[in-house]
Amino acid sequence: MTGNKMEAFIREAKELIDKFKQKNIGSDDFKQQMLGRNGIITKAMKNMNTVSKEKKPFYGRAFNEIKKDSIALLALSAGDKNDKSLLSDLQNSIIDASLPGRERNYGHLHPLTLTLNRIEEIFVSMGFEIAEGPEMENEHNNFEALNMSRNHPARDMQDTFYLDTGELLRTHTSPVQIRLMNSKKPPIAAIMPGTVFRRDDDVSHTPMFHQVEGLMVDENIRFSDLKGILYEFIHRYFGSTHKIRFRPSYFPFTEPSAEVDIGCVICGGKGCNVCKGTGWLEILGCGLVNKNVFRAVGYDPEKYTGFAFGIGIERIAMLAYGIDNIHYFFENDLKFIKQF
Amino acid sequence: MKISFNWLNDYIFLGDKSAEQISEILTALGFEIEGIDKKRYEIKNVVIAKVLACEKHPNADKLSLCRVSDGKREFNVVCGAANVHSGLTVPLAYIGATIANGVKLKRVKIRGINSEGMICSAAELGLEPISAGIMELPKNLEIGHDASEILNLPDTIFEVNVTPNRGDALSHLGIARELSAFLKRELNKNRDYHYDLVSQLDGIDIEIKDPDACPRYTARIIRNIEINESPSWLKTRLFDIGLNPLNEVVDFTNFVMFDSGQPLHAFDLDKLKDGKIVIRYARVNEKILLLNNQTIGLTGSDLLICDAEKPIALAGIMGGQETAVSDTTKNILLESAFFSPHIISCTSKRHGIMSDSSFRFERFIDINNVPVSSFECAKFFEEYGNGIVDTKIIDKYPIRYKEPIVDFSYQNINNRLGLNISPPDVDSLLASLGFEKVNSSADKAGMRVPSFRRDILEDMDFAEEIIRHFGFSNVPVTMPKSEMLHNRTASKLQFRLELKQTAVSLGFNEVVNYSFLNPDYLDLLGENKEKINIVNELSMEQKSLRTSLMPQLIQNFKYNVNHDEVLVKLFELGKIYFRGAGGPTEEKILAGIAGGKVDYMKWFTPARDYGFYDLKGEVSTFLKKMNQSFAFTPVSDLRFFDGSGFYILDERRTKIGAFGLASIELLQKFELDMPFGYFEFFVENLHQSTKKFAAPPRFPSLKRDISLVIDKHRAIGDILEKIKALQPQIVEKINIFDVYESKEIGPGLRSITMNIVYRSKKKTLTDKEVNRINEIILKKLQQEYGAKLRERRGD
Repeated sequence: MTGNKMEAFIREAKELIDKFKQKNIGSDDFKQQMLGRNGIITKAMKNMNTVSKEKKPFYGRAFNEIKKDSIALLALSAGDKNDKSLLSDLQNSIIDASLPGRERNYGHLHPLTLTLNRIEEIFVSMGFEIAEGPEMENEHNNFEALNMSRNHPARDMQDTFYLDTGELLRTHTSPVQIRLMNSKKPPIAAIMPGTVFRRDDDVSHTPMFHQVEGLMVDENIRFSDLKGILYEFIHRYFGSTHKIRFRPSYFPFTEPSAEVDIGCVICGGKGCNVCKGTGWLEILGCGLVNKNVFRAVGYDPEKYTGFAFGIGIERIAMLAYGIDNIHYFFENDLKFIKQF
Repeated sequence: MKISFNWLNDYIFLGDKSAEQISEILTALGFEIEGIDKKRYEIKNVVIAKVLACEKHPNADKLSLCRVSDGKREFNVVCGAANVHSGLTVPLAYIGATIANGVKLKRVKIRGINSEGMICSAAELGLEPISAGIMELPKNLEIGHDASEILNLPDTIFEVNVTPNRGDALSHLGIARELSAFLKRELNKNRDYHYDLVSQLDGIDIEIKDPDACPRYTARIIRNIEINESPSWLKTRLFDIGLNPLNEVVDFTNFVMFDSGQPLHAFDLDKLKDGKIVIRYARVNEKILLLNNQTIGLTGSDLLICDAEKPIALAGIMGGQETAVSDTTKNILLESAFFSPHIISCTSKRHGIMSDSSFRFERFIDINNVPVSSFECAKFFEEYGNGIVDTKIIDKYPIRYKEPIVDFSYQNINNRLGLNISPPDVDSLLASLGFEKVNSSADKAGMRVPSFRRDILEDMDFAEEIIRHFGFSNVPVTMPKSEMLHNRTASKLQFRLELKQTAVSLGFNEVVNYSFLNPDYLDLLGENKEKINIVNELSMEQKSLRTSLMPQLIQNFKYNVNHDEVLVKLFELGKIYFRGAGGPTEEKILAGIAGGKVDYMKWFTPARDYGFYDLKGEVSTFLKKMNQSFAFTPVSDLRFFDGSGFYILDERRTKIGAFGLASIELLQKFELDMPFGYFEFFVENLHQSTKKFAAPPRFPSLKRDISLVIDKHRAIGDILEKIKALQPQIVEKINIFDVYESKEIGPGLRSITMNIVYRSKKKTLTDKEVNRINEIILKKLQQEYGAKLRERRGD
């Protein structure tokens, strides 16, 4: 018969809650009759030893729920006495924690933005300023001033889109170097992010992509300083244990020129498809500013030295996130973007 | 460029190096190895053997039965080749041998006779694609020896990326030179030949019209040749580096080009009119039929090789069809020359014709090597082609090349690299690369630059040589000592990032589209900005620079709707391009598009369509978050649904953006049946104000609810403005929390319930004061709008 006694307590508690909800009883009285020293809950707990072992957990839970609801009701009545809808909500307030929560609809930044932001943060924290230039450029800034005359074989590496205004779509962010140096005297330490275009559209190329150019010019800037800055960048971006390799290369606007490889992020240097078995991945090109570039902007090439580098943002993003096809960046599929 | 390991061995001993080691060295020297292809390493159990006897197969006309000896044993071998005969030295594959492509040789019975092996063709050893018969080997080879070893069968082909400044390295000789300097090993091929350079030769007359375009032209005559197949070893070399062996003339000239870097061309001497060679620019309307069967119209800047009456070759790029060597050719004129890289490059680009030859001329060939390579090629004709080689070479060399002397300072170079390499070490490196020290004083040296290194023009070019050979890994890692790095400037990109993050916080996803698109899409919008087009577009889809972000966002929207996305909210921060008053103009735009179902399939709330109030709310939230002061002014814009389109103005009435729901017309034009909202902000016109602090209110607020019934066509905004205008000091905020129409209210009317928040900055308002003010407002609204008012007391 003890079961019935407990059932009676439950019935009593529910009636009391109804009364309170219908404002037939004040909150002080409700509190005393429900939760007080001689309240229903206390009485029920005291009688718990009369319940069979199997049924104890059930009644324990039941009265805990009643207690919680009562406290919540009291808190609510203290907070907003007028709003009855909240109260009615609470009537059904059995929490099933396994139901999905009310998630918010939050957007996602494009992985190229995320990548560029990280690159910028690193260089800005090292003291580099940020400069920008137009995407519709002239031949002089995009080529000639960068030591690439009209028939320079290196132009073949950068097939160019020409515009009906006589301008071209810049093939790299390097012309921003020229604009920057034409606008001020050294010292300069700047990065120049931007969109660039090449007349190339196939499996591994898109006609538009993004670069970050870097330039530092002052007296006594050495190749070893370039190494210092790039080591710092790579270690901060990819982790401080990453292997780095400088490999001689050629760019008309730098001399000596180098390409920088990092140990393959996929296989850790053992050799895989991504690194074509070499264990290395190319991530940027760099070098000391070619004297002819200084001459083109009227800097004294004997007095000033400097370095420049160019980082492909898509390349870095692909390596860092393991994206295996550059075209994903421009398909704008939410199922892609929402992963970032 | 493909480089063969075996071929390199002709120039420099590399027998102690693995392909991987060579690959690492070349990469470190700036010749990046992009691929390593091992050839034929699987050929096993093939030996050098002798055909002792050869007779007809008793059961087949075309087969022979041979007795073949490997020096120890004799074998009966059935052979199908026509060129088999007794006395030949041949490669013999034993039963069980592995030949090309991993094929295992099995014991077979051919027309009733057991064949105890196979006499191999070059193709069967993987040396060429197709062979006409069995391989005939030199008689002096040791019988019984492993053929794989003797024939140098295993080879490794490196795919080398030669940078455009290093024309000198576009040959096996060039690569060997670099290895020689690095490994400190002498080149073992002596190229000091004896030949006669003459300026005149009977029956041949050479004339150079512009010595700048062609500073050196040599020609040599080879008579009485028979054009046969090339020797198999040579065919293998060419085949391995990706060429198709054709005949002796083509193969010999190709071989020399890939061997020492000098492009050569052979003319059929008997087809040259009057034995004359003129190097001149093309005349207007002149045409030439090239070896690739293409006829091209020439311009006055194209350099030609001509005979007495017609063009016979596009100089340095491709020979002409008319004077080409054919099966019946008896006598040839072999050209070896130097052409201006600039002229070759222009012509090559102008006509879109590139050849291995033009590729090399564009990057400078070695002018001193011009007759040397010609000699080497002639030797082949002598040796294999039964030709009679004239020992004399006509050498027209109007502008003799003088090897320049370039000065540098050891200290200066060390300083710029951050290195400390001693002058003797530098000297020894440069000497091994072919530089000759001609003067030195204190810290300075002058180096004579060899004719093959046209890339060395000033001191920093030596820095490059030094760093290549001493290695980047020896350069220390230092930090620049520049005051610049103490500079900390706020980034203007920071503002753009904040804009993006605000859009993201409102649920918009960032997209990135190309800056160009099909102009038709821009025309659909009725854009009035003047477009800029790409002249050499890859396709119509990439023809015009965008004057609006809208068409691509619509495409992105459509794509995602079609890919099962129920709520699509996208934004892009990118540039538009147009012809402005001051020329080509670029402007940054942040544009967004949104549509679909909000709260689709949620257990806690019913779904609804994304609509105007969502759009307006998001635009407003965005502007508030970005601290913009703004007002909306209605606009009739064909892109927007009637009454839903607005311009966003700042306090100076400058347009900072626009938004609206897509018009039905626009949806139809873009073949879309899902409505959407669109907004755009002109990023340059947004205010990047620094945020100013205003003290939070110190006095409590009082609230009053007002319900009124008004004409449903009357804009609620007007009423709100009115209320604010009446009591600007103490009406802090008005929340509209209920708007509805019903039968009880009456037709053409609607009920609006609002909650007015009153607060003073100076004191605590009393109930009495607020009631009075509220009363004034109510009366005013009653008078002005004839509204039926119902007061409700707020909290």
